[in-house]
Order: sequence, then C-alpha cells, then structure tokens
Amino acid sequence: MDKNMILFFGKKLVVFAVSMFVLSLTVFYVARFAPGDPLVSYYGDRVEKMSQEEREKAEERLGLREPVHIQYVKWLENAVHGDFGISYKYKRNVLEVIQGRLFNTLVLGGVGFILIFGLALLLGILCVWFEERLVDRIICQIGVVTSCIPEFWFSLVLILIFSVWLKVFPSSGAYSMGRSQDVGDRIFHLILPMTIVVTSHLWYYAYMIRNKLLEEVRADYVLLAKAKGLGKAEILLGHCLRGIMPSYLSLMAVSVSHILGGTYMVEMVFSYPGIGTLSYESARYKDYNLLMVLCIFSGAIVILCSIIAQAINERIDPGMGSREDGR
Amino acid sequence: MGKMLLEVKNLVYEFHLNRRIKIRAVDDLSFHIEEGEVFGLVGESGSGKSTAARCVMNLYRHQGGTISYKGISITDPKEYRKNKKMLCTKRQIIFQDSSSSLNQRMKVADIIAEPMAISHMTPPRKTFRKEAEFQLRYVGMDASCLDKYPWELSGGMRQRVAIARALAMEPEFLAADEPVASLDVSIQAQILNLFKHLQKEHGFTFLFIAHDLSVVRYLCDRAGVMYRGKMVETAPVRELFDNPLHPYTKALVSAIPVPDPVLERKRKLLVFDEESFRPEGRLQEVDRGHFVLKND
Amino acid sequence: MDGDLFVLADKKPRENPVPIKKEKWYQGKPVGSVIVLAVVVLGCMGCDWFALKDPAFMDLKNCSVMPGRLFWFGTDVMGRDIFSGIWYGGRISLFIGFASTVISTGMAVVIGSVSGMAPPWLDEWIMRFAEIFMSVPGLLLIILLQAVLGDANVVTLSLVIGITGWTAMAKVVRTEVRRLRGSEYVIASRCMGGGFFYILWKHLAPNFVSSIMFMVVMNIRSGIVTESTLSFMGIGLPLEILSWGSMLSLSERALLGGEWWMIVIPGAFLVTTLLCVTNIGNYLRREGNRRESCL
Repeated sequence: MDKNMILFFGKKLVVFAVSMFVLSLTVFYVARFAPGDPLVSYYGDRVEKMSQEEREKAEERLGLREPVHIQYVKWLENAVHGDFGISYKYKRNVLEVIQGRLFNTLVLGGVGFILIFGLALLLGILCVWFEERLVDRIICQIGVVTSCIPEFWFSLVLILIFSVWLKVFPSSGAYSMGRSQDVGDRIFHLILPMTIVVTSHLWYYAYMIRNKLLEEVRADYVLLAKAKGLGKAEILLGHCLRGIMPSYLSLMAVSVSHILGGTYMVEMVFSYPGIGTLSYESARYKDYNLLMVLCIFSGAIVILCSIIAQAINERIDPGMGSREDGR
Repeated sequence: MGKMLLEVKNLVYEFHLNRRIKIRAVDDLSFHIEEGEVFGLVGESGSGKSTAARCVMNLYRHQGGTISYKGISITDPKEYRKNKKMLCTKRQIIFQDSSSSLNQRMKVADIIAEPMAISHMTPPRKTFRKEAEFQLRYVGMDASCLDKYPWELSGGMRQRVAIARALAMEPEFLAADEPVASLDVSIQAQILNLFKHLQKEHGFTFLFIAHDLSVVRYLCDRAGVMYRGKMVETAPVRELFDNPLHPYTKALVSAIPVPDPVLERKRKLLVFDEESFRPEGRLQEVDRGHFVLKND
Repeated sequence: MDGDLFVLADKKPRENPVPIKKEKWYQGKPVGSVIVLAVVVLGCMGCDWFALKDPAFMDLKNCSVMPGRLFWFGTDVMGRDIFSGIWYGGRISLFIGFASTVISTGMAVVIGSVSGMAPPWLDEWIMRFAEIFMSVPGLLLIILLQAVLGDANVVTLSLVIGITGWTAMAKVVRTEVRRLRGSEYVIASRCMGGGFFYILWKHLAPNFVSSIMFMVVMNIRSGIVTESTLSFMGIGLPLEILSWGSMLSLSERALLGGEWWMIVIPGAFLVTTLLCVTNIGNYLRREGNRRESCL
C-alpha cells in the first residue's frame, strides 16, 4: 500500500466520520422536535392517565428533560462506548433488539440483491443477443410495465391472489410458529416478499445493462473481433461483458440504498420481522434510541457503498478527479 | 511611435495540474502594443500565446506581473471593477474554434446582438435585428443567414459571424486567438483579407495570435515570437523576417515554405536545439524596436 | 469550348429509384400514452360533471359493496363510492406528483448551477452535502420530515417529496454546467460582461434542459408513487383527503374479505397513469439523445 492509497482511504474515512456525525445530529434534532409523545412508546396507554408530576418524573428517568444539545452530547458519549441506550418500546438494549431482526432483513435483502443483479445480467444479455427481435421487445415491454407497479400494491395483489384466494403461500412473518430453524419453512415464507423485491427492481438494472451492453457492442474492437472470426457468444460474453463489469460493479454499490429502501417497504406489508418494520415503528412511535441507531446503520451502509463505488470508479477512470480551469 | 495602448510587464501564469505539479504557461512575459497597430504573437503549440491573450482579456487571473490598458492597471481588481463596462465593451476576443465559440442553440441574429444586449445598449440602427443585419453585411454575408443556427453554416461563415459579433460594439482593441487555423486555405485568405480591410477602416488595435509565420507576415505590423512561455524576440515584421537574431526565430523563419518550387528545393531548414535554450535573460533592445532575449 | 477544365455532365435520371418508406407522423411517438394520460387528466379535472356521487360521503348502509349498477366501481370499507373517489382522488395524486417535481427541479437547477459555477472547494462541499442527503434511504427521510411538519396535507406532502428528490438531478445539472462552463461561448459571454444569471439563463439552461427532461418526467412518476406509498403507510395524506394512495391504505383490511375491487381498481389506475408517464419520459430521453448526436 503506497502513500497515495493510505491518503485516499484516510480522506474517505474522514468523510465517513463527518457524514455520520452530521447524520446523527440531524436525526437527533429532527426526531426530538417532531410532534408526538415518546412516552407513549414506553408506557403505552397509561400515559393518558398520568398526572403532570408523574409525567415529569417519567421524562426525567428517560433523560428527556434536559436541553437537546446536552441530550445529544450524552448520547454521543455513550455511543462511543458502544452503549446506544434502550428501546422504549421493547425495553431492551437497542443493539439486542436490532440483532434479533437483522438476520431476517439480511436474508431478504442479501438474497434479493444477488438475485436482482444476477437476473438483470441475464436479461440484459438476452436482450442484446436478440436485439430488436421479438424476445427483446417482449422483455422490454414486460419490464417497463413491471417497473411501473408500486411495490406495495404489487404485494397486496400477490397476497390477494396467492394467500387469500389460492391459499398457497403465507402472507406474513418469516417463519411459522416455533419453526424458526426450519430452512424449508423460511424459504416458503420468503417466496412472496422475495418476488416483490426482485421484480420491482429487476427491470431498472436489466435496462441499464442492456443499454450499456448495446453501447459496448457498437465499439470498434467488437468489429475487429468479428473480423478475426470469433463467435457471437465469445465476443459478447468474453469481451463486452468484461468491458462493462466495472461500471456495473459501481452501479451495484450505489444501488444498495435504493434496494434497502425497497426491502423496508416489503417487510412492512408482509409483517416480516426485520429492520424495515423496526424502522417504521420507531419513527412512528418516537422510539428515539432505536431510531438513531437504525438511521445511522442505514446511512453507514449507504455511505460505505458509495465510497466503494467511488474507489472502483477512480480505479477504472483515473481522469475523474476535478480539473482546474482558469478562474 | 504611437501611443501605447496595451502594456504587459513580467506576466506570469501557472496551471495547477494538482496540488504539486505546476506548469508555467507564461513566464515573465513583456511586450507592448501601440494604438492602431496589428501585433502578431507567434509560437508553436504550448508556447503560451493563447494563455497570454486570455490573461490580457482578464479571462484568466494572472499570478505575477502587470498589464495595463490605456493606462488602467487591469490586473488590479479594484481598478478593473471601476472600469469594467469600458473594458468589457471596448475589448473583444475572437476564438479559434468557431463551432464552440458560438452557442449552437442561438440564432445568428441573437449571437451578433449579444454584446449589445448584455450592456443594455441601444444599437445605432434602432433594433438589435437591424444592427445584426448591418454587421453581417459588413463582414460579407447575406442577411438570409440571420435566422440560421451555427450548425447550418460552414466554418468560414461561422468565423465571420464571430467577427461580426466582435465588431458589433465597435471595439478599440481586438484579440484574435488563431482565428484562421481551423479553416481551409482559400477561406483563410478571405478571412485574412477581411481582417486587413476592417482594420484599415475601423483603426482598432489588433492582437493577432498565430502559429503560421506567413500569415503574420501578411497581416501584422509588429510581431513577437514566444517559446515555452517566454518572449524570445520582438520586432517590426519586416525586420523580424529579414534579420532574425534569436536561434529559435532563425529556425522558424527558415521553415517557412516558399511558393517557388525551385527556391523551395534549395531551402535549408535550420534545426533549433532545445537543449541550448536559456530561459534566463532579459529582452534587450538590439536595434530600433528590435528586442531579443539574451543573457547578460 | 476549349480551355474549359470542367464540363458539367448531364444529369441522368436514376433507374429504379429506391423507394423511401413513408413514416406516418405518429410513428415512434408515444401517442397511445399521451391519449390515455390525457383521458385520465381530463377526467380528474372535469370530474365535477360526470362523477355524480360525493366521494367523501360515507354511505354506511353500503359498505364494501361489489361493483354493480349502483356503484360502478363498488364502495370501500367506509362506504365511499370508489368511482367518484378515483377521479377526485386522482386530482390530488396528480397534483402532488406535479408540484413535488416543480419543487425538486427548481432546487436541483439552482443548487446544481451554483455548484457547477462555484470554485472547486465550494463545489466539493455542496456535493458532499448532497451525498449525505442522498445516503439516508429516502423513505426514512420522508418519514422524519413528515413527522416534523405535523399533519400532512397536500402542500406539505408535495414539499417533503420535492425536498427529498433534488439530489440526483442536481448532480446531473452540476456535471453539465461544469462541462459547459469551459465552452468558448460562455467564456466569450463572460468577456463581454455577462453576469452569472445572464449566462445561466441564456447559455447554460438551454443546453442542459434536454439532459434533465427525462429525469423531470421520471420525478413526476416517482412523486406519484411516493405519495401513494406514504398514504398507504399512513404517513401521507390522512383518510379524509382522498387520493389513490389513501384509498389503498384501507385496502389492507380488504384482503381478509377478498374484496378485490378496493385494491385492484385504484391500483390499476395508478399503474396505467405511471405507465403513460414512463413512456412519455422514455420517448423524451430518446429524442434528447438523438438531437445531441446530430449536432
């Protein structure tokens, strides 16, 4: 690792830290100033019956009486030591709560991610192979239509068809009661949500690959390869694909946040016990500590991925840095 | 010896490639242009002549030295701002590439009228369009081109439009950055004749940048030769071609092709040894009006 | 004549001229999408004339009625007529999509141009800021903002969606402005004394408009989708304000009873509108690219 690399990563680390700081600050302040009562998530309905004194005592216990910036500093101090506080609703350590759900989301998101990009690649190649012929046109048409269908509506329709009418697939949860270790059961529960996650993003990326490949295929070296006698498959798969791989990889890195957002939505409709539902609940019911950690977690992943994407981009195109001009 | 219109003293400009690497495009450049004269700035690609011209026109912020126009120090931001209106209207520039110096999405009439529109000036011919038509005719084009877009015109016509745009404000000082380099030879001749004719009629001071010496010999009164950001020799044109003193100038002059095939075959090409170039030194007056870069 | 170096050859008529395929004027244009979209928009705007029932009226005797003669599209769980609901609700959905796009485009153009024309350090900071903005999953950000602004209504929702949607377009604007800024006609204009806004308006904007046209149309589409998603989640418009999204938010309960019309019909309208907008957007993008290459 030469000096340049160290400097490069050092700079990125600083950017990362600053971004995290700004993000946490923003979320902290916004969450506090939003209307809504955090006590509700802790005490439930009992809040209405509390007297003014009891409210004040409760707020003091939860550390909500102090001025906001002091609250933030306290939170920051604890956070640096790894203590992110307790979730008001679940009354357990925030990290514990998240840990329980993280796996589910990772399964849904991770497998979905792989499926999306794998299938997108396949579809893109198919489209270019049969360019402008029926197969290409059909795939494009289907793709455009599926990309227009909102995720939540699609989920509803699929649940309607497969769970209510046909009674084939379960409509909620990650696993049936007491069978959390049963892989087959998990897969069964995953099928519907996974279908939604994949189909709603698939076309966007397949289209991009199709376009990139189409451009690549018009390059001069392809003509040369053909003149040399290479077959269509060899040129397409062996050469052109490699040409677009770097930009595809950076695209994958950047799309993590997009797909993450989609997973949250699907989790909600399917009541899938993952981080998505957790985020929604914590935002809705003002479970501050949980919200903070979740926001920071999502933000961290996204920033990390964008840094990776930038690193890939700078690797493949060294001229991407900003250039000076006269003024 | 007329009045001095433009005086450049020890101009320095550096390009920063990144934080560490700097390139001195213009290195301690000094020259002056008198009122009403045509001054040619010659040099090979990368010698810094375009950069010098842009510094003179306040398009680049200089990093050393002074430039004064009509006695006003235009390198001083305060004085520049005070006289900005005059400086922006009475000095105009023509670029080399006419397709990129004209906005492809504007009609010719709008392009020519642009400087007047920016200065909120009422044109002497009452409307912008009439003024544009007048200027267009003046550079030898038909009024039917007024509603055309630049991509509908040929290279020579586009360059004429650029000239019309520059002349619309009746400037005192015109800088042209290799205006004929991208045109074919017959069109070059037309444009050069146009320049000569306009300069005689209007009497503006002309800074003409080129890398073709024969063009400079045809058009200019005085000329300066630049090499690697430094002014190597300055002299009236006849003197420069009859009696070049600096080895670089000698090499350049010897490389000019002669239209006579017999003489051309006899022509000996002098090669300039780059290693022998000594950037230190000052311009020293060797003969009347003839300056050469020499070490002391 | 002697001495003539060139003699003009006679023009011979071409044998078997190649027939040119005559393209009809609507070839390649998204005519179908424009027509359907026009129908939907006109229907929404002119619904006072043909949607006879009051969409907000809760006819409690007729809850969850299937589509039939009395209620063409059926009623929802609260007894509201879905047919009227589609047209009145469509107004809101389309308006939000449009208004949020206006806001996000305006912000993107201003911020992108400033960043593009700014000195490198300022540009860097603005882009970092945009990236941080982009790094929070949009939905979460909207949830947060919505929580701050309190009770949602059409205006606040448009504002929120607009504020979260400018980043991608601003990046494109900034890249284009950076590229155009070095163009000689911009330099010439600056030399002639043109100020920042003059150059922005006269020179930069006409040249980057085609690049962002596609994104603008896509933003309209995502505005509509986001509104319906938010309303569905309960964070968007409250149930009293009718929009396609809020109509769908009740539909979760419909699942249990298998009452498909509450889900399918508003959704179908949503999908059709989005499809039309997308087609128009794709057409614009193709057109924009084509014109660039000709120049």
